[in-house]
Amino acid sequence: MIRKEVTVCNRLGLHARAAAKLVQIANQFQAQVSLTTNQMCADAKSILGVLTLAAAKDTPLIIEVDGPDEAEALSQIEHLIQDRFGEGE
Amino acid sequence: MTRLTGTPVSPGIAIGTSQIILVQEIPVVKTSIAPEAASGEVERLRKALEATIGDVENLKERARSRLSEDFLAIFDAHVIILKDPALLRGAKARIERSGVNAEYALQGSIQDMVRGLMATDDPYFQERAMDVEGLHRRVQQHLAGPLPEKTTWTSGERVVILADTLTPSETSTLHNAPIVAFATEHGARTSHTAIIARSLEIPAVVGVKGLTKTAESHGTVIVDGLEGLVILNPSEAELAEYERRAEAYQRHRKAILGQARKEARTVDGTLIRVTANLDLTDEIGSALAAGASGVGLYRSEFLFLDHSPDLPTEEDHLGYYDRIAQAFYPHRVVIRTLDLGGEKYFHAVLDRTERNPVLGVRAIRFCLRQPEIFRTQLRGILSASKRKNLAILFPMITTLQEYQQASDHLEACKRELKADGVPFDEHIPVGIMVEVPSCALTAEAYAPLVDFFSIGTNDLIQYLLAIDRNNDSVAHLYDPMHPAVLKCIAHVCDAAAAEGKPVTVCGEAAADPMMTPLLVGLGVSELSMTPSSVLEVKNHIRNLSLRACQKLAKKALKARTGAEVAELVKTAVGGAKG
Repeated sequence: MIRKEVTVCNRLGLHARAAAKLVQIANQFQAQVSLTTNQMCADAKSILGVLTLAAAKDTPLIIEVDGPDEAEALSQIEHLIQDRFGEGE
Repeated sequence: MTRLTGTPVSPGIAIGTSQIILVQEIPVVKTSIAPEAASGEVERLRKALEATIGDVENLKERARSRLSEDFLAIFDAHVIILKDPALLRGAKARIERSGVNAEYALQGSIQDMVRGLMATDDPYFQERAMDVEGLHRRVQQHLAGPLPEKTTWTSGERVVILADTLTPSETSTLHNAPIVAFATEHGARTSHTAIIARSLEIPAVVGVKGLTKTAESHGTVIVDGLEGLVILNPSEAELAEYERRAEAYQRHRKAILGQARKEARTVDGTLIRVTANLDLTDEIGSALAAGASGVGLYRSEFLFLDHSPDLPTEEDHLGYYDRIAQAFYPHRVVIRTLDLGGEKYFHAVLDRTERNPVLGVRAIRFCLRQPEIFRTQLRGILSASKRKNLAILFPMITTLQEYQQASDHLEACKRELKADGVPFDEHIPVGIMVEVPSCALTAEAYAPLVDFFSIGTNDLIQYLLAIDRNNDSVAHLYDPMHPAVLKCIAHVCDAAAAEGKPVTVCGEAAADPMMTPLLVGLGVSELSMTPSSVLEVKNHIRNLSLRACQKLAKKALKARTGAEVAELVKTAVGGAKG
C-alpha cells in the first residue's frame, strides 16, 4: 500500500468533469484507490463517492493505493490532479 | 386508422412497420431467495450491469462520427455511474442480508444512487441522475432475460420507431435496425431523437400525444415529418396517397437540392438571404448542404451548457466561432451573445429560485450583471473575427441603455485586444435582437446606432400576446399571424429602412411558408431558420413576387384577426399559383 498527500489546485475543485476523469483513470487499475479529506474518505472508483467528497480548490487530499499496479495508478492520479485535470488556467 | 399530430422535427415522409420501444416502467417484483442462491443472484446482476455498460459503449461508438465530444461525454458519464462499485455493493448487501431477488435489490440500490447524485452540489451529475432511470430500465431488461426487441432484421424491412421518449439508452436497442422514421410522445427540436433523425435524414415527429397508448408493434404506420402527422393502420387509400406523396417529396427534394447553391430571388429580382439557425456545430454540414447563405443566428447557449457547471474560456469561444466562421466563409455568421435563462436552459450560474424566469434575469440582463462572463464571450467572438465575416447580436434588448452598456463592454474588449496585439475585425457589425415589444415599438431609437435588426418571433409573440410557449392550454392562442405581431414587424422594418439597415427574422415564423410572403412584403431581407427548412424556403421565395407580397402585407396590416390574415395569404398564394 502506498499513499501520498496532494492539494486540489484547479479552480473548480473535484466537480463533474474532473471527477469523471479521476474515476475513469482509477477504473483502469486493479488496485484499490481511496481519497481522504479531513472530513471523509471515498472510493476513487465511485463517482458518487468522489462527488460527495465535494473537494474544493486548495483541499488537501490523501491518495491511498493498494494493489499490484499501485505505483502506476498513484502516479497517474497524482499527475491528473497536479495538471489541474487538464483544465489549463 | 388513427391520425395523431405532433411537432415535425425532421422532414420527409416514410411508411413502415411499427416497432414500439418500451420505456414504460418494468414492474419490479420482490421475491425471497434462499441464502444459498444469493451468490447466483449477485452474479446475475453483475452480468446485467456489464451487458448494459456494453450497450452504452456500443452506442457511443456508433454515434461517434455524428455527435460532438461534449455530447459523447454523456455516454461516459453513464458508464461511470453503472460501474460505480456502490451500485453493485448496495444491491449485493440487500440480496445477502434481506434475501431478496436481484431485480428488487437493484431497484433499491438505484434509488440510493439517484438520491446520492441529487444530493451532490454538482448540476452536471444531477442532470445525469435523471438519466439513471433510463439506465435502470435497461439493466432490468437484461435481468428479465434475453432482450425482447428484435435484434436481426431482414433486408427490405422498413422500421418506424415509436416511443414514449428516446434517450441514448433506448436508442442503443436499435442495433443496425433499418429505421425509416421516428415518432415519440415527448420531446422537442433539440431532443436526442430530433438530432439523430436529422443527422440520418429521416422523418421524425415528436410530442405526439397518446402515441404509445394507441400504437401497437408490427402494424403499418405512416410518419409525415412535413405536416407533423402519424397515421396508424392506414387505409388502402391512405397508403396509396402517402406512397405517392413520399415519392413526390423525394422527387421534389432531389430537384430543389440541385438548386441549393442558387440564391433565392423573387420573380421580380429581389434577393432574400436565407440563412441557418445553428445550436450545435454538428449541424454545420447539413446547413451548408442545404445551401444556407451563412448563419443568421448562432445560439451560443449550447456552448455554455456543454461546459456546465464550468464556464467556457475565451479559447473555448474562439475555437467554436472560428470553426463556424471558417466553414461558412465568405458568408456571414451572426453570433448571438449568451441568452441563458428563461424557460429553456439551465446552467449552474443561474438562480434556480426565480419565480418567473421568462421575465427575469435572462439574456442581456444576465450578461450585464455578470460582465466577466459577457466579456469573455465578446473577446472570444472578436478574436475569431479576423476573416471579417462574423457579426454580434445582443439578445432581449428592452431599453436603449442596455444596448449602450453592451456596446461599451464591446468597445472595452476591442481596446483590450488591441493592447494585446490580437488581430480582429474593428468594424464587426453589431445588431440587436427584437424580442420585447417595447424594443419593437421604439425601433427608431436604435436604428441609427445598430448595424442590423434581428426579430426573434418566438419570444416576441410570447411577450406580445402573453402566451407561455410551453403551456399546452394556451398554445392555440400562439399566432404569428396576429395583426399585432405583423404591426410590430412592420414598425421595425420601417424604422430600419429609414436608416438603411437590414432586418432579419430568425424565429420559427421564418420557416413557415404561410409567413414568408408576409415577411418579405413587410420588408424583411433575411430569413434565418433550422437548416432542414432552408431548401424549401429558398424554393418558395423563387415563386414569390415582391410587389404582390407588399400588397398582401398592406392588406394584412389592416386585418382584425390572425384568421383574417391567414385567409388573405391563402387567397394571395392561391391566386399566384392559379
